[in-house]
Amino acid sequence: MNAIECTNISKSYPHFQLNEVNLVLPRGQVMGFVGPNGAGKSTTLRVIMGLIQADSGKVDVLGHAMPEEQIAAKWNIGFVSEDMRLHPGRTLAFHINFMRSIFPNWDDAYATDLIKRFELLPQQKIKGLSHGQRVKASLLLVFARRPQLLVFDEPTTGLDPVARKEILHEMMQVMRDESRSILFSSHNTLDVEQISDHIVFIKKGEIIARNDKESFLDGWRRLRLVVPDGYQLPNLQGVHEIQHLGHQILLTSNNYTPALAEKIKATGACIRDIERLSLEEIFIATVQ
Amino acid sequence: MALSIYLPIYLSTDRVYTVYTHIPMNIEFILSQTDGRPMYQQIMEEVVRRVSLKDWPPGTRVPSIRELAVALKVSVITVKRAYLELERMGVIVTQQGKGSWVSEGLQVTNLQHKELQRQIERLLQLAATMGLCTDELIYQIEQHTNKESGAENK
Amino acid sequence: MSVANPSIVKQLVIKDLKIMKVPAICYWVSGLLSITLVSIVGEPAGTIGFILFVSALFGVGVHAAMQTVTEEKQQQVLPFIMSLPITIRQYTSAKLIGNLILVGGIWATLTAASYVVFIGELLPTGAIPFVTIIWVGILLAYIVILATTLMARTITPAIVAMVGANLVTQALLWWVSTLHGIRSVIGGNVAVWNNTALTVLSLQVASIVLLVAMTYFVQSKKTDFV
Repeated sequence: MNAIECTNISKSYPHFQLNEVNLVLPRGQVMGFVGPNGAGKSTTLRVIMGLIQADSGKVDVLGHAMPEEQIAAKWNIGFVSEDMRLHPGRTLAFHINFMRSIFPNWDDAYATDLIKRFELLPQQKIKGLSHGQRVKASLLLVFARRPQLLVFDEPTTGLDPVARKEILHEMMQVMRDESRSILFSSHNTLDVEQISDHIVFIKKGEIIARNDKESFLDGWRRLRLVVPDGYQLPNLQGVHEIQHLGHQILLTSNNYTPALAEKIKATGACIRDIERLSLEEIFIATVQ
Repeated sequence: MALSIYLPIYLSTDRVYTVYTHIPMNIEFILSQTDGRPMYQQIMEEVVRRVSLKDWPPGTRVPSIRELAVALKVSVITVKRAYLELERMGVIVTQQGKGSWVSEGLQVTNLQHKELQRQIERLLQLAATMGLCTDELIYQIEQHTNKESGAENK
Repeated sequence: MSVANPSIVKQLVIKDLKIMKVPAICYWVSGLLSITLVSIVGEPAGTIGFILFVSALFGVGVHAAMQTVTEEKQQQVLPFIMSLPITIRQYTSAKLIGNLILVGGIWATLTAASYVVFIGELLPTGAIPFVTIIWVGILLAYIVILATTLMARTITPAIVAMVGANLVTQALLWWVSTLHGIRSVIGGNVAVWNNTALTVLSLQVASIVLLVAMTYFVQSKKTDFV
């Protein structure tokens, strides 16, 4: 069974629209959702959470139709978004008690452990916390519930490297259990590249690329060619971008196979180097 | 990682693994994000290194894909790919639903040989981009070996 | 896992009551103190006590609506609340129940005390129907504010409702006081529940019921819950 299935979801706002978004996240996997600011990441995640109702399309989360069956679904979803806040005038302990009173499977030992590792003070008021502490506090309230699905909107944005590492660590701990899944958005492509099994690119409300991470990264290559005078590169399949620099050509392929390299060699160009691209480079190349 | 966790698994398999009770205690790999090589290759290399150094002798149960992914904070799919390649190379064997072990019949020298071949290939690639011909490369290598043996003689 | 939702509504109510505990006690105590002031000093300084008393009644409502509803929206606490296993309908119920327990409780006890102190001391027995209309009027004004803050997405309508409800309530109460059916019996020694008084009261109660129903309706039509 899939953790998330979105079929053709659309949502219109005066200045933005989400256009026929399709997403499938199988159980036991991590999906990284990447896009520029305002691309529709938050809107999509909120539709999945049942916090926003799509104008059209079907949303199914953990086998429940959203938002109609949101109660049943939300028992097992943990949601944290970067712009979400806890009660500013209350302490973390207040929120922990509140969550414990609602969720029977609240794990007190795990919560205590996280408080220690995240270096949080339960008696400190939320409004006195730094951005990083606030995010950690929100994540703690979700982790200690041990939900089947975690939906995180920009969980590592604005955090220092140590905090980011702690959070990625905690997210990966969840993956120990094969039935649990994570969907998270980020514009930190390093985080996405590190822990995602699936990668989805969204731009202007539309999904522009998706694949499992290994195939995604494997498909892209940058070839450095040295070419003779008056060389003309023929039209080739799988070429995303070509940059001419005198006797050098930088060729970016989005569907690389060794056959492409052979074809290029046959044209008389010399391949000096074949490099892989980082997710960040792929993201920029795709979005531009 | 406690031995007791693995014991039932060993006992349930038809092959007698109890002979080799060596369990990889340390699955802390250091992976580099600035390294040009993809994650799955770095994982493969680390496993191969441990196997060739006999830290993980033949018959050792290697961490499950999920265990290693969690420990390394790397996606499951990446570790899965590394294991598939390692299996193809004959470094590990996987039994569906039971786990993976370092191949029993594995010739470590073979593995080291393969690693040497790979390093040479990389060296040749680098030399090619620098425009060095093979003779020049051999000369450089000789220079190096002389320097090292000279240092030993002192 | 069963859908044990009534318990979540209960926990949400308890959470809001905890958050409002200190301010609520303050309003309640100041309400009681102002009544005491009236009973001690009598006319004309007692009028100040009366004004303080009305302010406490009005203040607790505004404070509760702002704190439990508007602040959650303004401070982005709502996505946290709505990520819990509840629907917008249950959220609305939790807010209405919590507010009515808190503000309703304070309103009921303070107004009950006011009859004991004011009638006979400051006001004649004949004023009871009109005083009742004033108290229910304040409750109605509070329901207007609460309903608006719940339905509104931003703080502006909530502020407009607060100022507007205050002014309109005063204007309407003044108008009611000029009605013959009220005016003619207010100075008497018996409380006369004539048609005028009863009509005004039933209109007030009907408005309260209507506002609550409207809140549920508007909330259920929303497609964005945060």
